[in-house]
Amino acid sequence: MMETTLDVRVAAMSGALIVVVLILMIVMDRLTNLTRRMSM
Amino acid sequence: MARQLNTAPDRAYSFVMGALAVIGLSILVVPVLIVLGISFTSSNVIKFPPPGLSFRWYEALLDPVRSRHVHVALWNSLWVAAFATAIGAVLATLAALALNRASRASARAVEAGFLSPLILPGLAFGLATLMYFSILGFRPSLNLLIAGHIVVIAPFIFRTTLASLTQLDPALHESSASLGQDGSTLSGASPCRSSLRASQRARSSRSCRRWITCPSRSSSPTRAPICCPSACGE
Repeated sequence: MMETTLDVRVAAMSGALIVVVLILMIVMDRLTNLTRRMSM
Repeated sequence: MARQLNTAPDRAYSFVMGALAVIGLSILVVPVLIVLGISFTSSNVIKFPPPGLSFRWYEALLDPVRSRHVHVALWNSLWVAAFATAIGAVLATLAALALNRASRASARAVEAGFLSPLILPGLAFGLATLMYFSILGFRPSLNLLIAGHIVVIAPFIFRTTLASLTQLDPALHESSASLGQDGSTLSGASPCRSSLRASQRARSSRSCRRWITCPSRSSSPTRAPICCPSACGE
């Protein structure tokens, strides 16, 4: 369906960054209670 | 309170809005999922759907010699992101604080100017920035990248900060006066700090959120949220 000759390590690094950002978002939300503050 | 779907137009509206939400989320999330799926491919080229699943490319990332160019690119990205976020957050927050307190019509024009980069396509802005700085004689560098990212990042921080500041009670200044701030600090460089301190006290006192009408030390009595220290046990 889709094929390109780009380095696959770029996709792996992007995947690692995505996972790190998700974890950071969850951690910061728990630390600051951001969801509760925004809904107040 | 949950919306009651009693009529056909209500149900149709909910269906259409739900479908639009799913489509919007899909446009935002599906590319990320595709990149994640590609990163676990077992082939030597980027192919979707991946013919097989493997962690070999994550293992290849850990090789400092063979993946050095990827590590350098990652370090550049983190450097630009950190500095652009830090500088953009400071500048945008200061701008939001100033424009929130301004009531002139020119402040609204300045606010629109701060938000104008949001309507620019990223690719067009990047190319225009590169051409502009080349004409001025600046060579492409990480500092120029940081400057360009600040222009893109700052409107987001500015808009969310301004939205939060508009929800603050403007009477917090007068309530901070009743909490002990004297006139010298109020009129000086810390009207922000006095409001921040008053808002922090108001938020931290969850057990004693009651509104008290009380004449403050300012010229006009005002109705402001005040935490009675004796009631809070502070």
